[in-house]
This record gives sequence, C-alpha cells and structure tokens, in this order.
Amino acid sequence: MGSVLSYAADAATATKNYVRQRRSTTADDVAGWSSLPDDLLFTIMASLDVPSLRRTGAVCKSWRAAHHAFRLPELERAPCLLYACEEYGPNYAALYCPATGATFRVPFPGPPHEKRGFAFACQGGWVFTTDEIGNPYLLNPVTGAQAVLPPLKTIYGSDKFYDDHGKHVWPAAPEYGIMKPKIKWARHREFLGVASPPPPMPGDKRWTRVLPKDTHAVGDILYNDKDGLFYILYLNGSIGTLDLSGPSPSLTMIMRREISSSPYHTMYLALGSSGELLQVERKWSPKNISLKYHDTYRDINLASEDDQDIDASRPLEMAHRLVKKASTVQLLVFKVDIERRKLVKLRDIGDHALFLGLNSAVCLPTKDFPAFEPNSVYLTDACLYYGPMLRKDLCI
Amino acid sequence: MATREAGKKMIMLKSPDGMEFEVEEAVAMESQTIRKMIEDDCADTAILIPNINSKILSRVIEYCNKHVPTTGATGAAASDTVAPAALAEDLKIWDAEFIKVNRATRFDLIQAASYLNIKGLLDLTSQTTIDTISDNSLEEIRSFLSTKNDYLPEEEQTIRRENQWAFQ
Repeated sequence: MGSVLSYAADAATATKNYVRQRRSTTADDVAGWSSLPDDLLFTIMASLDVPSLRRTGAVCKSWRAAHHAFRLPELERAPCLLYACEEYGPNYAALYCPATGATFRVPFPGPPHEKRGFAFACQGGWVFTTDEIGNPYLLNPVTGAQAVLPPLKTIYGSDKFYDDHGKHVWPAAPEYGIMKPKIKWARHREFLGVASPPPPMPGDKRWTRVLPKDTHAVGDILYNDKDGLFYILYLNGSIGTLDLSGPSPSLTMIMRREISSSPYHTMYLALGSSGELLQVERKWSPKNISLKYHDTYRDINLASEDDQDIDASRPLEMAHRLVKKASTVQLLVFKVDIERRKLVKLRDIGDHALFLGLNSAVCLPTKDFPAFEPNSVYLTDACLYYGPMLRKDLCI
Repeated sequence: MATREAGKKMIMLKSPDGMEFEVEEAVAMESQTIRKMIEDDCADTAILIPNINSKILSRVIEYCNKHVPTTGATGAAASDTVAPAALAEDLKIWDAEFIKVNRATRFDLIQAASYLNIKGLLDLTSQTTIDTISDNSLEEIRSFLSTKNDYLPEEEQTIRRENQWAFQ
C-alpha cells in the first residue's frame, strides 16, 4: 500500500499536502472552512461575482489573502471596460480592468441583453442605460445596484413616440419613407439637454429641460466636481457652463466658435490632472461602407449584444450604424484657456493617459497606474458592430 | 461492499481507519487519482486512501456508484428504458439530496473530491459552497461555514468600510 503511494509521484505530493491540510484542520477545528486549501478556494472564488468575492475576502484572514490574489481593481479609480459576455449568461457582464489585467464577473440584472438598450454614459461607476421599453435607469455594474430615473415619456408631451406596448419608437413618417413606427432605443443625445429638477437626484418624477430648445446641438457634457459646474461642448465647438446649484439653471457661454460639425468627428471634454479643462477631438474615417442601412429590430439587437461599456459616452450617431468598421485617424488634445477664450493645442499629455469611449472622458496620471503608458490615448471601439475593445491605438 | 455481478473487475479501497470497500473498477475509476493508479498498474492489491475516513469514503463511493456511466451495474437508474434527459434529471435530484449534509461533512467531501479528483463531486460541492456565499451575508457565511472571524475589531471595521456596498 505504501508502495502505491510512493509510486505515483503527483498523487504522493497531493497526499502530502492533503495530510498537512488535514492536520491543520484537526489541530484547530474552530478554523473549519478557513483551512480550505487555496486551490479549492480559488476554484470557488473564480465563480463568484464581485460583491460575493469581496464578502468572501472579508470572512477571515486566510481567505482575504487568497482574495488578494484576484487583484480586484481599485474600482473607485481605475477605468474598467464593461461588456456583455455570453459565457457568463444573461444576468452577468464582464468587467475588464486594464490596470490589473483582470476580468471579473459582475451582476448585470435586468432584461436580457438583447432587449436592453445600449449603455450610453458612465460617471463615477454608474452606467446610464435603458430598459426594454426605452426608459433610462442607472446601474452600478459592480454592485448590481440600480437607480430609477424618470421615464422617457416625461421629456416629450406627445404619445406619438410610443407604440401600443409603450415602447419608445421613431414615429411613422411616410414622407421620409418610414411607414410604421420603428423600435428606437433611447439615445444618449435625447438626454443631453434635459436634467431632472435641481438638485438632480435619482427618484425624481420627471425630466426637466434645462437647455433652451434652440441651443446648438450638444457634443459632450462634463461635470466638474471641483467647481460643481457642468461644461457643455456644443457641436459647433462652443463651450458653455451650466450651473444647476441655484434655484433655476443658469447657462453661461464661455467660448464661442463656429466650426462645422461632421459625423466623423467626435469631440470630448476631459479634466486634466490639475483640474484644467481639456478638449479632445477624435477624427475617424469610415471603412467598408458596404453594409446596408441597418435599422431593423434584429440588427439593433445584434449590435446591442456586444456593446455595453462602462468606459463610455458618445452619442450614437447615424454614421456609426452605417459603417462596418471605423478607425481613428487623428487625435488632437487642446487645453481650453478659459481666460483668453481660446484653445491651446498640446504637443503631448506628459505622464497621463486619456480614456475615450462611451464614458465621460477620463484623464489619469500614469504614475498611479503603471499598467498604462504615459502620453497615450486609450480608445474603446466606437463602432457598435464589434465588441468594444480596449486598444492602444494612437499615441499623440 | 455490495454483491457484484460475475466478470466485473473489483478493486479494494481501504480507509485509514481500517475499513475496506470492495468496489467495481469502473466505479473506482470515477476518481482520476485512482484511475491513474490502476492504469499505471500499481493497484493489484488494495488501495489505501489516506486521510479519508470510512464515513466520507463510503459517501464518495456512493456518489461514484450513482454516477458511473454503465448499463445495469449500478442498479435501477441506468435502465435502457429511461430517457437520457430523465436520467440526468434524476441524477440532479439525487445530487441535491446527496449534498444535504452538515458543513463538516461537506468540508470533508470537497477535499476528498479534490484529492481523488472526481470532477462531478468537486463541481457539486464547490457549487453548493458558491451558492452559500452568493446568497448570504457575511455573518451567515461565517456561521454557516464555521469559519473563524480572526480579525481584530478595528481591522473588521476597516474592511467593512472599504467594501460597504458588498455587505448589503
């Protein structure tokens, strides 16, 4: 019998470990499951979602040590990429943290992916997305927490944007060839000009328009928590601030420009490390414009399956849906000199990395995140026909 | 342990507390660890299964007996008249009953499954633990798994603060 054990070397090693572990158990029975061998604990932890994983790490010291091996991201600070992943099933999404190179399973409760709207925007870990009938809600993908937002209906006073089931639709417009109402997922853009009554809090009953209807189309909005102002970048290049802290919204134009907007030109606002306002221009060119106009229910479904982004906030523009693949050809970063009301082109962004995608653009010092290369811009794929990929496309 | 049909090759498994279990080779080979020993031809006498006591070993054998893919040898379950889907369903129910054991036994079973490398049993025991962790609060996990909270009160406070959202 002894020879059996010494014969199979791997089995013998396993046995030795096993004996050791068993001894520790008997020596200290109180420890119980705390003495679960690491490989078993890893197997179990690998199947847990992030909140459970965190709880597991708090159970006892030995479990905490194992839990550290999972390199959970500093979720409060590091950018993460959220995407739907078939392997995890309908109620989970994958959260990729490029800072540590780890991927986690996070709860993504709600309607199945194919019925869900796109994730449009994200700030401070909250993703702005829409439900089955096009109503927006906030979701924290890490905790699974959700916050209800006022329904879309409160933006328009009219019923023509809804079909019989309450789904948000493009109204029929025979003159443009739209013969019957089409499913329409709420667009990020529709929310750009509205906010719930100040203070904007989840739980308000309705959306209130804060930008006058005749203002120029909005390209990007950034909230600066240092001065409590919203910075609005219009598609014509002008920049304004919006103050929602007072009894009524106050809008100030801080810089006027008149550039012609292009669907192949996306602008972002970002905050530099010392709080300065940056404007980023991303020019991209469409390739393979061979796809037909895709606006059927089915096609939009397909697109929504592999989209979803925490790192994320750009309007879904028509051009994105027409092209098969888009590639970014030029990135320009400007510092917005508010005093002199002009843009100062930056030659480099030093030891910082910029993250552009569907999120509010993020600028991070690379010394805090060694995984990122300095003076680089990280892009999530803007084209919804492909799963967003985090790729380092261009250095400036 | 039980009566066996003629012509089946039998294997003797011994637990460290001196109990001997005679099982069909096919059943024993549900364990990849034992399979390797048999294939390496070093199991002509009895195989000692170290540190798995007779109580746990008999349960493990019970599991393997139920799950061994044979025709007829394991008894009622594998009859030709039973559709595969119904069989799988039957096994699932059986598994659910099988794993209704106290935490000490489960702890022993998960380790035995790991050592003996029995994938189905390892999956079953792991999944039960995963469910326990997913569905319960920290206190419930600690109490259910009887893990000792070895943090100092202030350490505990810090960890809770860090992870407030995970403890809802």
